[in-house]
Amino acid sequence: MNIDRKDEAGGPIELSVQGELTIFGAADAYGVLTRVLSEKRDLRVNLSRVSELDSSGVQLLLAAKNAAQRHGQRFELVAHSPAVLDVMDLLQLGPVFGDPVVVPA
Amino acid sequence: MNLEPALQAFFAEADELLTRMEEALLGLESVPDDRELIDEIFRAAHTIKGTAGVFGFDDVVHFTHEVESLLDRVRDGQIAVSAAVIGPLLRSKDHIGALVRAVAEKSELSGQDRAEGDELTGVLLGLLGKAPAARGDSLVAQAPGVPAEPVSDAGDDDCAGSGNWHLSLRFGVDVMRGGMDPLSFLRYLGTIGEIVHLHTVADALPPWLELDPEACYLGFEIDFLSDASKADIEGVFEFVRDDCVLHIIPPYAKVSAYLDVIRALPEDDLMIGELLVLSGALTRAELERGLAQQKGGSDSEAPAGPTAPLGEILVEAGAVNAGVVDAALVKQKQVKDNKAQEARSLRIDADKLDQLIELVGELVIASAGVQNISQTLANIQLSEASEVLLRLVDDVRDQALSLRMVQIGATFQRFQRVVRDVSRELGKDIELVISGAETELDKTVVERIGDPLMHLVRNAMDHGIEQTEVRVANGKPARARLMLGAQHEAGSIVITVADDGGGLNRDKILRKAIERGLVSEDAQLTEREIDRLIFAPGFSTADQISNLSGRGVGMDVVRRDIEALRGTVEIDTQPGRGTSLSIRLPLTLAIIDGFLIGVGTATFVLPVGVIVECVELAGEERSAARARGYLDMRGEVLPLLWLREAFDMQGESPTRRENVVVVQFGQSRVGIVVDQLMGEHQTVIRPLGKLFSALRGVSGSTILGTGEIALILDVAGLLQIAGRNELVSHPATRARGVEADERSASLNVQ
Repeated sequence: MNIDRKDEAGGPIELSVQGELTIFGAADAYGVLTRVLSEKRDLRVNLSRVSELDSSGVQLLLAAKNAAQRHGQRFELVAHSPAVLDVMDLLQLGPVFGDPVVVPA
Repeated sequence: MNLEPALQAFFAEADELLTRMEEALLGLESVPDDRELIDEIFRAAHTIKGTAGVFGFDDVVHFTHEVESLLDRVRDGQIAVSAAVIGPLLRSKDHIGALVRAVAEKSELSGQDRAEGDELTGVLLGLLGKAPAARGDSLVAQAPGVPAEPVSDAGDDDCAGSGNWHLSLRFGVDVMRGGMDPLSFLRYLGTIGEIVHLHTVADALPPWLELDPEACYLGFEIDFLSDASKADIEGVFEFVRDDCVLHIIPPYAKVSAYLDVIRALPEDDLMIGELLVLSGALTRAELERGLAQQKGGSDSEAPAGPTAPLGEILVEAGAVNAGVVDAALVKQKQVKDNKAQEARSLRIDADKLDQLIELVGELVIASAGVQNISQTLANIQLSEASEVLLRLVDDVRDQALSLRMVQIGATFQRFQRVVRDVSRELGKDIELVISGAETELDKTVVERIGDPLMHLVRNAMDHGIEQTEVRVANGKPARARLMLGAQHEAGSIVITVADDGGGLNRDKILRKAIERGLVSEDAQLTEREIDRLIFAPGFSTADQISNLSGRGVGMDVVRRDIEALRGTVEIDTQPGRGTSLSIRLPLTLAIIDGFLIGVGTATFVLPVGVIVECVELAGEERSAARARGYLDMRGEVLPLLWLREAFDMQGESPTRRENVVVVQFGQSRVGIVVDQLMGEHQTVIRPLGKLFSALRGVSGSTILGTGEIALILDVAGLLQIAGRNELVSHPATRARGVEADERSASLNVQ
């Protein structure tokens, strides 16, 4: 797993997750997110290159969203990969995250 | 997530479970109403189904489900145990094995296996009293667990209106750390029914900074439409049973059942209530009425405290019978037992073990080097230290090798089934007697001895044991005995396959051998030589080729397999009384205690286990032995083999004296003539390359402490060369003998 960070001037921080967002990388992802969350800025997480998502990944995204919202920052998920959509679908999480999802044709 | 290790564990476990299932089924044949055996078979099938489900191996799940259904009926006493049930169950067990193998090898099921599966499914459904399903139908949908009857009285206010199951699931914090992903259970759940509505409960998530990213905080409220029984639904979560709170509310349950669950859950009552309304399990009116009732109503009706212990499954009224509860208890106990056992033993990747053994091998070589130097330096302190080191290395070596040792019993047990099936096929009554099942030997050897043993066992049953009428006519018990035994014997293990059949028919063997041109017509053969003819390539005595053996590709392959393991096979047969085949195998393939001998400047290693004694060959005796080719050993004739000539080595033999190493292998004893004896040596066996595979008389190589290479002599091979070429008979014929044999070792070591 790899998380790239891109700062847009005036815009949100965009994190791009690459590879497996699973229990094996959960501690690393938690570390990255903790640092980013501490900056108290809006966040956008690009999920287009997530190859696998498990419960720990889902949980991490949920917790991060809660944390961001508690401080009044925006937290959005964009460009869900098929693996992410599959899980979101199974757990019926669409309304929970409330992000628009582009379903591939 | 990388599932590979978990998958491997599943395949290994399925293998063990299927073996146990087979043993239990065979046991059931003699004791048809043994409860424990029936339970054991059921548990095996159930566990395989459950695990296969978690991994999403639908084929395995579907088929095993039918088997399990049948077993369930048997367990309830609805179907009696009989050959009509055991037969299909044994075949089913084989088919499950085939399905699991197909998954493991990531291959498609062969057409034959597929047909077998379809046929078996039909048989199983027939036994269950159901019409065989059309192909492609979800077999799971036909599960025997009939959901609770809808309560017809529409006026009953207490009855909630939904035909869905409701599952309330809270995973324990350690579930993910334990290697399980809650998602996989939900996916599996989706295979036995339809998830109508699912709400992910994340209320237990702590604030960000208190979050443990590897802990699990998730719960799920699920509405589930399925014909599966409650036990089936519970079964989905079997592997997290101890680590989750699961409440299952059957379809058309009373409102109070929902309320009980609502109260038992850690979340706010109203929130869960809302959830249930949201998911359509309850109507708002039902909820409000229910909550009000509970509040104002009698306390005696209130369920036990809200803190349900982990793993507790609330048994809701209606959909559950006592049998399910029993099964659940048994399962829980079994899980605990398994855990206790896991604590005592550890599953290790065989590769890791091989690496360890290899390292120990290097250590042995290195320590031999140290010993060598310490001897040269003759420093007392250094020698003492190196002695201690050597002893420790010895112990390490023994311990490391013992890690690879497994009991042969499991291999023997497999033959129970073979003997049962084959004896039926042949119409013979054969009993398998196993002894020495606890004898240990190297895992590699155990793995590779299976095929040759199978061949010998089949041969014994097909050719060795007579038809029942013949036995009775000869005054023998109608029930024949086939004995499989193992025992340790001086650094090797001896495995015996013996029968009490008619023994080898030497006349017939000789006739057939002459027919096939294996021996000349006027050959004078001893009885032992005739017996050994059955190991000749292309030999078969069968007048008719049966299904089992007799195609003439058998015994020579067996012999070669065994020789590849550095083993030998001996026959002992008594006409009318039976035949016994003894396979002698080395205990391990990796390291042996060797004895160094020298010829010219080359060094060879003989396994210490085969050496009887060493004698000096000098003076008159030497020239006499040279002329005769044998030695008078305290009145007995000891044939001699000159190693220098056997290997066609250059250089002159020493002028003063030579040495004879007397080796014993099986029943033959031979003296090997060498230049010098150099003492014992820990020998790490390194295989020879493919290039040398045709080389006879040498089984491997090793590296000495000095860094030189020494060849390890293969005594059985040497004896063969000696016997075939009559190397030992007369010096004059020796050289010719070597040349004459195309396969003999012609090796220029210098």
